[in-house]
Amino acid sequence: MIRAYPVTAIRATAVVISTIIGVGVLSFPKIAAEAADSGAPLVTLAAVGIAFAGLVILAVLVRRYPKENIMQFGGRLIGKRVARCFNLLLILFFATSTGLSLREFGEVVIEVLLPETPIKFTIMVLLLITVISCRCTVIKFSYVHSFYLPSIVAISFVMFFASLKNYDTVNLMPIIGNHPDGFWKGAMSIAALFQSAFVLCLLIPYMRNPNKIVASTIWGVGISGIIFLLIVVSSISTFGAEETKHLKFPTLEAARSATIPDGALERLDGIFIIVWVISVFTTLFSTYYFSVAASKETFGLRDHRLISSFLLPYVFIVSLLPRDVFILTSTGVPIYRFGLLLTIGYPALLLLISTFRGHRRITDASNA
Amino acid sequence: MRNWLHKYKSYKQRTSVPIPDRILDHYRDELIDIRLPVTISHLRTILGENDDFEVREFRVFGRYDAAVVFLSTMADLERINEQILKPLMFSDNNARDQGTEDYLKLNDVMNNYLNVALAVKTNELGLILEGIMIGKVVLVIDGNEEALVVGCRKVEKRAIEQPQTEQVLRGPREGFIELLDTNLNLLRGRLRTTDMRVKISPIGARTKSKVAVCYLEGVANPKLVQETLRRISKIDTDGILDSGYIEQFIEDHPLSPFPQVQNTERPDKTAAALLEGRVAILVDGSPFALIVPALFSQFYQTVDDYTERFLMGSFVRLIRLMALIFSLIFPSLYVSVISYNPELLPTDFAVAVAGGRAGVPFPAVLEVLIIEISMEVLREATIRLPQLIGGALSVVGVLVVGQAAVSAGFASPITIVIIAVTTIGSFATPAYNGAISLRMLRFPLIILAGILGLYGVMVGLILIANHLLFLESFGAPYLYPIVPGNWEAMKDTLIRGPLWWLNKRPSYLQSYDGNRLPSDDAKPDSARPLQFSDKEETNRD
Repeated sequence: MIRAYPVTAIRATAVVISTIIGVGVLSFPKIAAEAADSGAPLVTLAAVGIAFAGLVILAVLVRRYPKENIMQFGGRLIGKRVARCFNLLLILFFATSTGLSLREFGEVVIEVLLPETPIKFTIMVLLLITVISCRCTVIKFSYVHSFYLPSIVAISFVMFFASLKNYDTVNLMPIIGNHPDGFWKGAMSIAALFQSAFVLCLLIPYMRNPNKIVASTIWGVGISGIIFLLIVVSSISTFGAEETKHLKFPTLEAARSATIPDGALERLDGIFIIVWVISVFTTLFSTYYFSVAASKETFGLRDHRLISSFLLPYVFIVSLLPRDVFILTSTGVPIYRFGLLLTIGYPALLLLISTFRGHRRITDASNA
Repeated sequence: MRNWLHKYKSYKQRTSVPIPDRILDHYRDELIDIRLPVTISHLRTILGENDDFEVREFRVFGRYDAAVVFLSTMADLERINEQILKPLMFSDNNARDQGTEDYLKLNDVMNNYLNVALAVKTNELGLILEGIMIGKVVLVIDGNEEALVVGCRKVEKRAIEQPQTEQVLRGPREGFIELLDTNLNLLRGRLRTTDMRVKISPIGARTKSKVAVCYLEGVANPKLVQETLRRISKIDTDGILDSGYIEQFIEDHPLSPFPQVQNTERPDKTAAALLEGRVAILVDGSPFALIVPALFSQFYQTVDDYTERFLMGSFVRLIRLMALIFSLIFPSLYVSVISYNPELLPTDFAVAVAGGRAGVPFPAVLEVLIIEISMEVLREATIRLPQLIGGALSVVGVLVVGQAAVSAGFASPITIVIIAVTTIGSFATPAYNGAISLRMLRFPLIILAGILGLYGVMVGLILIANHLLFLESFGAPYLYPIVPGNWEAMKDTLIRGPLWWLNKRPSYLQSYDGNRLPSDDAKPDSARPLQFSDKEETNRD
């Protein structure tokens, strides 16, 4: 009845931040430490840079076609068949990434909260609420993200400050690391954690002011980049690089060591994980929603709600495939890195073609 | 497949079979006869089976045959005597001599002799019958093609009392009653503006209850008004006995546990809602007005917030919001911490809890469920009991649920404390339907806590939050102004900002006039600082 509420720039920023901050935050200091031991913060910084470049390319691209999403104009730019292949790859990648994140979080829950509950069950519960929630429209999708954003950012900062007392800055030296052999590989792996923000390309047709998408992306990646840096600094300085390499979930361990002096709660890691369910949910919600919405476009369906249920078995099976958490990381990280090729390469390709074709940003004047 | 589709479509487009008001429909197009005896016998055959159907025949000015027809249970007999029979039968009337014609014209009677405000001439039998049924009196005079339908309904009403469900410490004490006319009177008394519109139409095929839709022209969004009228006109049922019936027909999501239409017994609250640009719906026979659209934030707001100074109002409102959250999550948090993660509690407290639970034979989730359910039973029992017995029941309840359950080893003392806090929290929520929706959701949360601990509680809360985010009331997002965020409306959401700060109407209503006050340059020249005159203002009430 009353007009819909178009996605504002702030809400687009919220989508970017809450999508990026997910289960990967719990384990990425380990990846960073393995890449360049005490140079981990620098690796993270490089990763933020890569992700920043990739997402800004995407944002600049979608800004040129403010009335369509990437599935629609992609077909026009590089041909229907090729675009369809890319779309299918994207759907497959994001569905797989949903499954792997689910599994990773399932492992965390088992380790911290529910050691005796079968992992299938914890995974299924989270997957189910994601699937149910994915039956909404894009505007409601942005509501969900902006609703949860404050608690996600707040818990990240609380954890950083609560574990401050265990810091030892010596652990951060030397800043470039002792053996920065795998520096770029590690940076790519961490940058891959940012790529779920690809979902922002769904928002553009619903934005009040599509030109602000680039600014939203910059703010979003910037804020989540700061949170990533704070977290890697806190883990490395608490445990030292060598110790961090041996921890499954270094961020969680840092939280475990944090206490509130004379507090009402004995331990904080349980609370941390509980609130973290939110940020994991928002990430799963984004990647799953992207797969669902992209399937709808690719297969030319009118409604995405049925697809939402059809993708469930695939995601569930993917999440159960890895035998344990080590296989999960050793297969998951390369898959995420391959995803970078897709989520940065494909928009870059489209941007190049669109520039050659002479499509420029449609300004407000010509739009009206 | 096509066949099936066809069936489905025809099912969707099925037009409803109208429930006929049999007598009325049968005689709708008939006209009354010019001869009095024919008309009377006609009416007698139609309505004569009712024992309260009365035909009083008399002679106007001693010359002309006439009759008044009415239902003795519906019409006001005193007024018939005073306002109809007395002027017409009064023999000292000079009209007696003027009447030179064979019959008395109805126009003359209406213009010269009847001192009644509401009177309509008609010759349609349908209208006459309808009038009789709602307590009007029909005056038939021999030789006239038309009859006079005179409004003479006997109005039985209770006094205007303080609303039982929404009491205030400070604020008006008037509440709506069952009579629509009185309710509109109370409402109009508060909104003395020509912009107020009231649209009344009968709803319900058999009850024909009067339903009034009220709004402020130029403030309420016309689309909202249209949508409200459209939804009400689509109601297809035989009877509307309370505004609650209307609510269930016009709400957006009937399956949601959360109410999407606000109801209130308070005229002042209704007036405030109209001033914000909402639409109010009143039903004859119901002391509850409905207000649309309704949002989540309205559950924990009361009149007291606005009548008290803003710091107090804000503080009390925050307390109430906390109570609301307590009533939803406290028991489930308790169950999950006790059964899955006791290590989160400080050691001393954990030991105390374990000591209290030592003799209890059930798992925590079962214990909490049992006490919760008995608490709900107790609450439900006290609502409908007469107050004399209610006191006895609450004593028994306190003893059984409190002291005895603990000493019998049935529940631990901490469980009782938790349940008490929860129950009190849910009673602190001003809107009964809002409180009960959260009370309902408490049970699935407790069960989730019993299965999956804190993780289950969180999953349940995410599900509830998402549901709230997806919910709409007449197109307005339910969690507005938190999501989608709006700074102006936030001033009156978690806190209650000072009144001089709240100079904008809530933007989700998209009022025509978003500002409560006109801007300075838009004010007419005549607007000047208010000056109180020396003379007492003549009040016409």
